[in-house]
Amino acid sequence: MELITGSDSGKKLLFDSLERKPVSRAPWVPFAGIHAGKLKSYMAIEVLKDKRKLLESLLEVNRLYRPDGQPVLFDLQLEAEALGCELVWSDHNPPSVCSHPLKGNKEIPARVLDESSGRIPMVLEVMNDMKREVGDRTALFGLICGPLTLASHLRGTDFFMDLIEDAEYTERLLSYTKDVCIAMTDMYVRAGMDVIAFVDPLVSQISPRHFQRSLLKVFGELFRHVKSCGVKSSFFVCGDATKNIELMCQTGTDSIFVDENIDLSSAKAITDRYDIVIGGNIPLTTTMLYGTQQDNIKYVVDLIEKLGTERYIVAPGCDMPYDIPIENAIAVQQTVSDMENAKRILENYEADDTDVNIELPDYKNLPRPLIEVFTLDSATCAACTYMMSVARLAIEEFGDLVEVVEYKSTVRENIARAKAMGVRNLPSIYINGKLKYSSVIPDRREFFGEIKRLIDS
Amino acid sequence: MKSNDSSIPELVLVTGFLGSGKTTFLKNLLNESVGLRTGIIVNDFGSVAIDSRVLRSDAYYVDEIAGGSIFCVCKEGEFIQALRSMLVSSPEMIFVETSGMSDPSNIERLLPLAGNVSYSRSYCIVDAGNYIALKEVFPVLERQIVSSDIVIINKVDLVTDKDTERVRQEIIRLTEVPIYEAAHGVTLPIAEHKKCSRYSGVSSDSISNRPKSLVLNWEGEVDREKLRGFLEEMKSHILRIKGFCRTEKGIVLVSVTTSSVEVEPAVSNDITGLSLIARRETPIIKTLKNCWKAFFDKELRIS
Repeated sequence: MELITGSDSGKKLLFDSLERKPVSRAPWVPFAGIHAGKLKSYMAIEVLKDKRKLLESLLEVNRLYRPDGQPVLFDLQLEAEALGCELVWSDHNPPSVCSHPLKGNKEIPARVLDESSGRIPMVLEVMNDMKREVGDRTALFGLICGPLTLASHLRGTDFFMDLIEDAEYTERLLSYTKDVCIAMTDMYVRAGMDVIAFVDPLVSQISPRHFQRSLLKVFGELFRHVKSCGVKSSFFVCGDATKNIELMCQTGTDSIFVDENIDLSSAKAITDRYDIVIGGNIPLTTTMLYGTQQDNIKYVVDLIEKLGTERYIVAPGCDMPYDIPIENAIAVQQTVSDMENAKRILENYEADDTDVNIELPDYKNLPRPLIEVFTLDSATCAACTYMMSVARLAIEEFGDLVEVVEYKSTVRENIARAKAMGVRNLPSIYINGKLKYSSVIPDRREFFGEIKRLIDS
Repeated sequence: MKSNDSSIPELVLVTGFLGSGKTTFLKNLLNESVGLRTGIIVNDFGSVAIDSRVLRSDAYYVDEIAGGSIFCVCKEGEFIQALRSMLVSSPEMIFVETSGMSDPSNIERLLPLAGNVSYSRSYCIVDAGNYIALKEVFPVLERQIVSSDIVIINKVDLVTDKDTERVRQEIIRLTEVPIYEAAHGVTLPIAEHKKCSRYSGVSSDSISNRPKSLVLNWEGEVDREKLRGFLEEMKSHILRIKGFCRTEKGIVLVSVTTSSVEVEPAVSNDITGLSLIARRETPIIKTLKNCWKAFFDKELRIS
């Protein structure tokens, strides 16, 4: 496995970007929360509660998607649960809050979270493990539920009327949730997190006037605290927060991440004025979940061409849905790593290939097993590299008894061949003309067993 | 998405802020849909599925999406999956009740991912008692109104006529769709609402200070990408643009809100131009003309 550390690492690239230094390409941060579990066939509840399964899943994200930055846990209910909210769990979605300790009760809790609260001990252990395993090459993000969303978790829908009718209570509750955020920050920084991100979807629902009145001071204090801890900071928001971007810039954050509801070009014009980095906003549903690999390559090529690589981080719009096809995230990673080749791949897909004469092998009468590996480009796509490595191991194991061929999509004829074969996702391994592995790297023993059966038959 | 094929289920969306009376209103709609195979998708913000328990009955197939708004990007996949599952049982009507925080402007982009369903109409329920105060804090209320085909001012029995009129005036600033009044979610019979379905062009409003409504026309076809560029430029100046028009790649359905531009292939013989709605105080005609000139050589007719 290729190990990238030190000056060439994705972590350094991400830090350079956050420090507004020139970068060779845009950094890439896949928000693989519950989606990480899909890579190891674990349910949402397993990956959000079981230390071993979470770590295993995160390492697989790191291996396949080769992120420059990576969140450890994407669960906006973690703090709420530790403070007494009950959760409802689902197989393929993050949990949701179903009870609110402050509903009908305008008190301010005395308790702030510590290292023994709720699932926090498990999360801190995984953070330490991730720091040890990949921390030299990947910037680790500690995600914390923002003070506004946390207040609504604790108080329920009553909080929306508080915002209008009881400014004094709103201020006290937000001051409390801010203290919770500070306690979380301190724990996550001690566990080795490089970037502290406050994720506050409800911010998009508040008018700029109320942001200024109720939130600007709170977030200002939070980002000053993060800075005093010596780590980088980020402000995540979901929904149409267009009118609040300018105020978000005034909180002192290093970066802002937004979803597809925001016009990134217009938002970047604002963040550039404040010399702040912006990240986002590959559409989660239409592109990542239901789009093809080509859709994802095209979207990211367009984003980078429109926004450039300075003060910009490529990321999904929000927490990636569980079922996003693995090959779509792989396509994003490939595009970020090598834009020129990604554009060539797109051109090859869009080209009229009627003049390309492709002759498929006579699969029924092959002299020896034929392993065909269709890749985006094994030089830059992490998953393609691993798939090719396994295929090359087959040559070491079986020598002349097998034949291995790589078809890179950067070559026009290879795309025409992939179309003729009906290849839908890359990377894929075909053995004797039949699809055996798509996107998922084969287990070596199973793979060799398959080849051996064919040699013996 | 609009279809006259009776085998394609109609989808009706009910939006409105927390406590505005969406569930009561929906129950009244359901009473008028007796005899139809009906599916309901409920989205409850913050507390799981209280609304779905209120609505659950043997007569309906109810699905629920908890812990966020249906149209939050991280919940869209769940919504599509719920709709796909529902379509398997061949319903004739599907009602979707969103959370109070839902911004429904994405629905037309999402429905094609779910399958064959005809987006019939969208209601926005407004609480006469607290709309004015709420909209100052929560801009989503205005977005819900702008995205709707019918606005219901509910709970008018709890406020004075003067208060109701103030709310009506605020709504008229945003939209020219029909506005009805209701108490306990009870309003005109559903047959009356159906006349207000999408693209039917019905408007009952006649009050003078409503938003500017214009129709844009031109001769022949335009380049689809240039059209998209023009609409992208215009979106920050308008409340809504929608309609069918001709491009070099065929007829397209245009749907523009303040945050999104959709130009999708469509089948229609009704090429009447694009309807544009803008706030009265916006100097829209000059902006329109300058922006059009930047993209096209041909004349833009504004009526």
